[in-house]
Amino acid sequence: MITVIDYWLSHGQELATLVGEHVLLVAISTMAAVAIGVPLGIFAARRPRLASPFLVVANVVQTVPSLAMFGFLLPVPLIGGVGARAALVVLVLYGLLPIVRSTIVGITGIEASIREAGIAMGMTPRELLRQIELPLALPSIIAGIRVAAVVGVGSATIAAAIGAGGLGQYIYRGLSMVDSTVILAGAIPAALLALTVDGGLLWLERRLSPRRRTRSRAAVAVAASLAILALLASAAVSARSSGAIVVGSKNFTEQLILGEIVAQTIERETGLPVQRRLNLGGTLICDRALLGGDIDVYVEYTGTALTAIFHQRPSTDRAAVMATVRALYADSGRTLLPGLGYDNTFAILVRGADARARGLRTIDDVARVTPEWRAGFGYEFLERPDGYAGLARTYGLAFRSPPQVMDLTLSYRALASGQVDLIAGDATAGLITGLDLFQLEDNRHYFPPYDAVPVARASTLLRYPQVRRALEGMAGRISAADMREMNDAADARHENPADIARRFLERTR
Amino acid sequence: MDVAEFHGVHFGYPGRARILDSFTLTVGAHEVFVLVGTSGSGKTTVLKLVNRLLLPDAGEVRVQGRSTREWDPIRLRRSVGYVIQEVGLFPHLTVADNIAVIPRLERWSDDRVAARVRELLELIGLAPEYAGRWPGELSGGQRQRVGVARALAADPPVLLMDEPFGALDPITRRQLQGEFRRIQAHLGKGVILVTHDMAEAMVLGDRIGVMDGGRLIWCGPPRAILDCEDPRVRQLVASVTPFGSRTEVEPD
Repeated sequence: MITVIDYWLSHGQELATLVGEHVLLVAISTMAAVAIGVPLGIFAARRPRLASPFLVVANVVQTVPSLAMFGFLLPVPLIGGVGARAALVVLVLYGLLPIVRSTIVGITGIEASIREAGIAMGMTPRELLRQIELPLALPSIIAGIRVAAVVGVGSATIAAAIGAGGLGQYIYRGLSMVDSTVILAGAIPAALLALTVDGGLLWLERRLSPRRRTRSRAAVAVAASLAILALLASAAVSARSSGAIVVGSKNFTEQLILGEIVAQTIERETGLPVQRRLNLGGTLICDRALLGGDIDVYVEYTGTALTAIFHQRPSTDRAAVMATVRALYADSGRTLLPGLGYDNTFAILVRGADARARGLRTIDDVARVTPEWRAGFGYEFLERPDGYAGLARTYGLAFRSPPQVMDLTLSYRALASGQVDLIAGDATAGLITGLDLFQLEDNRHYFPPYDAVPVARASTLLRYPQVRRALEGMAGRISAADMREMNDAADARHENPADIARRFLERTR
Repeated sequence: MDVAEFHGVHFGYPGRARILDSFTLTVGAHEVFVLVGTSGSGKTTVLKLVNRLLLPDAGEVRVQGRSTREWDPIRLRRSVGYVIQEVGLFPHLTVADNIAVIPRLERWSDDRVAARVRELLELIGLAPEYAGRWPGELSGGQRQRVGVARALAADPPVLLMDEPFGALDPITRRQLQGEFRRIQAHLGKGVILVTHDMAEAMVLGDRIGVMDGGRLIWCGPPRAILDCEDPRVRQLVASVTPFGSRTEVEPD
């Protein structure tokens, strides 16, 4: 708990921004859901045959996991893509169900004699709705809004996956760093926010119960002014600073640092305003965002682009992979810039002490001793086509016992503590430096290349040639050792990616 | 002028026995006409045809000389007071606001509305401080009085009352029946009152109509009903003879 508080204190500014973004996401989406859901509920309540299909559709929407919903919306024009707009669309969809349902329940739950009295007194349908049905359904509707808002606070954390900001950023950052402190730094304020929203709306609900109409006018005024305030603030946030270069990144430590390096390089070299959309939830989200113009540039890995984005067979020929990927990107209006200088491929790792004692340098060297050794691999490495089976065949590797399956992150510690003697890790993992591990050379070139390369929208580079020059100037500037050191600074020492990037750029200028 | 006339009215729902069958009746101004009959005999339907909650399948209903088909339903309903057993007071409005609903719909000035509310509270025998009470704070009898006041608020020439005292205990019921007679003597509305309580009909009605199977089977002044030979009417009358006073034993 103390460490979480320390984290907040050292990230005060950022925390305030994220809480603000989170509140806005929830406030705007809930208001929109009310604006759509209440009329929809009134409409459905008047037509009993429509009410149940409405609820079925809303229920189905509700069961789609929010992450999948963000995925579905990525390729949709206007409402999809990445950023706050797409997140709002998803949050509104989620908010609709409870609001529509509570409106239907609130209106159909009014005693028949009360409605009949209103009609028999000569109220027009509009007068009946405004003077009788809505006031009596209001507590139920507010209860639905409460549910929608609380669900919204939770779903909004997932919106960070598509770069909409909010407290989810801490949760994703924490997950990628395997650091529960950072996860809690986002989860605790999100939970508190949910409780506050719930409590506030409960207060409003009590105020608006039928017997307190006169006093409730004040409550409505308070709620309305809060809503207007939130809308005004939202205008400021949602206006994308026009003319800014938007830099994206995936949602793990190395990508956050690379995103900062790219962003700061463009800022320094061109003086153009840069907007950061870091922490996007994965390769495909970044790719769609780049294609759709939501971001202008991010750093991809050639092997990933070849297989995951363009669905080509893996290849071990570095130059050929680079050329193929460059051509494929060019076909879709995107430009692959020169590589940053390191290859984030699989790394076969042993303890530094073993490597020095036995003079191990390559995987061929280690193949002589492995019959006495134990290996530990992540599940993915055991399964994928360019993983363990091919490696064993290529180098004639055999172990004392079948390789143990273990979590990738834990396997580094398992190796360091001697539970296993060889693992397959990530070439730029900070832990390689931190735990004194040694990467054996892939001397038979078994692993496909995963060169880190910025990829940008061709139209952006055409419009801002200075951005192209700045990105080209980064060619070959980052070594695998540099990247490990920076990852270690972020993961083990909890330094801020922006600070790490700044220090690196100053040191290597 | 007669306030309500029914000329050969048929009403029913497809596939079910007809609710009203060649129903004919005329209710005069200042007259209290009480409809009695067993449940399902079509009494409530008669009332709903007057304020056009329902329209006849065939025949014609005229209110103040004009067919309900020709009336604007909103104008018609605002000139016909309606009191129901469940009262239907709006729970989110105070007593005063409930009474003031139609005057406000009719855009009366605030002063006029306030004066009318005071006047009606006095008429129904509630102290002025009840104006600010909520319906949930009233007894059943008080609620029904407010329901009557609300129906009378815009001074409609016609008043429809559907089992207005049916949900009350016998003592309160008698008290309210007495007050209704006093109010009616004062206001002289054209009233159609529905009940299945023959004793109530005999106390309140200037004329009584007995309904059975969607038809009016007997119609006349209260005293004359004791001489009626029809067994269905006799059965209803028997329920109020001193020894078999079912209304007292079986409160609805």
